[in-house]
Amino acid sequence: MTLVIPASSVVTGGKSPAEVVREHLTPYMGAFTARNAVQLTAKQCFSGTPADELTLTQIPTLIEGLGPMLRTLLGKAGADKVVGEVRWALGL
Amino acid sequence: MKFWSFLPWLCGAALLAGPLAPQQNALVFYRVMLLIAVTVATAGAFRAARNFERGDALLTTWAVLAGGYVLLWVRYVIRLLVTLHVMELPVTFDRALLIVHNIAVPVALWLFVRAWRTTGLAGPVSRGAFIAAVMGGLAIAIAVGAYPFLNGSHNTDTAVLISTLGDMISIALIVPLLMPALGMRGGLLMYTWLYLALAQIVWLMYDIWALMRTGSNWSSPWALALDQALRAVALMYIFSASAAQRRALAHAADEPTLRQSMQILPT
Repeated sequence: MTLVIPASSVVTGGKSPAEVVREHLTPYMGAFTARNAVQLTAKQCFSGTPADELTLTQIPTLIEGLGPMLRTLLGKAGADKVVGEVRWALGL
Repeated sequence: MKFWSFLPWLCGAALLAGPLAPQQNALVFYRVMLLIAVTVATAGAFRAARNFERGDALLTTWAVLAGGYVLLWVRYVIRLLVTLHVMELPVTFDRALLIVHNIAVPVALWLFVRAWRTTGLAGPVSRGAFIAAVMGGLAIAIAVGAYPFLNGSHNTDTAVLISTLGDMISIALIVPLLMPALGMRGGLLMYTWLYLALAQIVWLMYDIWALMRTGSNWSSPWALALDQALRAVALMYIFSASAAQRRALAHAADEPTLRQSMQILPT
């Protein structure tokens, strides 16, 4: 039997959901482009809403918006993996 | 990643041992070393392509680049066999390989640039600065490419014309390849674009060196060794780019997940 501790409450503590997304993208594309990608996608998906104002319920749409960019840079498998990590980190 | 940055220069330095050997042996040494370099670059590009799935933009890009280097590999094998007096140089076939290689590589590099542009992500500089940098790159490409023709030091062979045009396009793509690298600085993907740009920068150095040699009639063994060393460095940067690409994808695939790190072992 394996006991899994829910991560969302542990990992995001004190951070906005968008910040968690950025942190998962940074190892691949660096802090500048990770911030740029999240900000740009948030504005596109939510009519100009700044990324840090997004709520947890809006994050699936944000992640979906980031999908094509991630798939271009990391391929389908890599993008799926990163998206899976973000979803799990946020408890989605 | 630092290792992949220095490896091409280490390989280039190895070719500088050429002048220590008798002339004929040195030629064979250069051919063998360049064949090894192009084999490594081609295998690296194919392995990078295999990490992507059908429908992924970078699958086509790496596949075209690998295809282009396969042609160069065949060309280098022929050159080695000619140097070893195993066969005569098949001139038409050799030129055909040169032409297709010099079309495939710029196309692949352009596909890399296009892949970045399709992400919609901005570079780290303003649009004006980007355009100025691209124009600067184009000016250098035209200067390096056009000078031999204006100077009359190149013949007007179709293969040479296409080769020069391919070089000019590749040189002009240095800045667009550097922009994603600058934007993704600190990230694993930065290295792929950086090494691709560095490969083209070294080809530019090679072209400038070749021009200087032609203009000055430098034919010393050391001049030839530097010529060959720059080729090897450029080829090895293609390998470094492919290694960086595979490393980024492996990081995505193998990264210990938060789930795993938070799992408590069975009791």
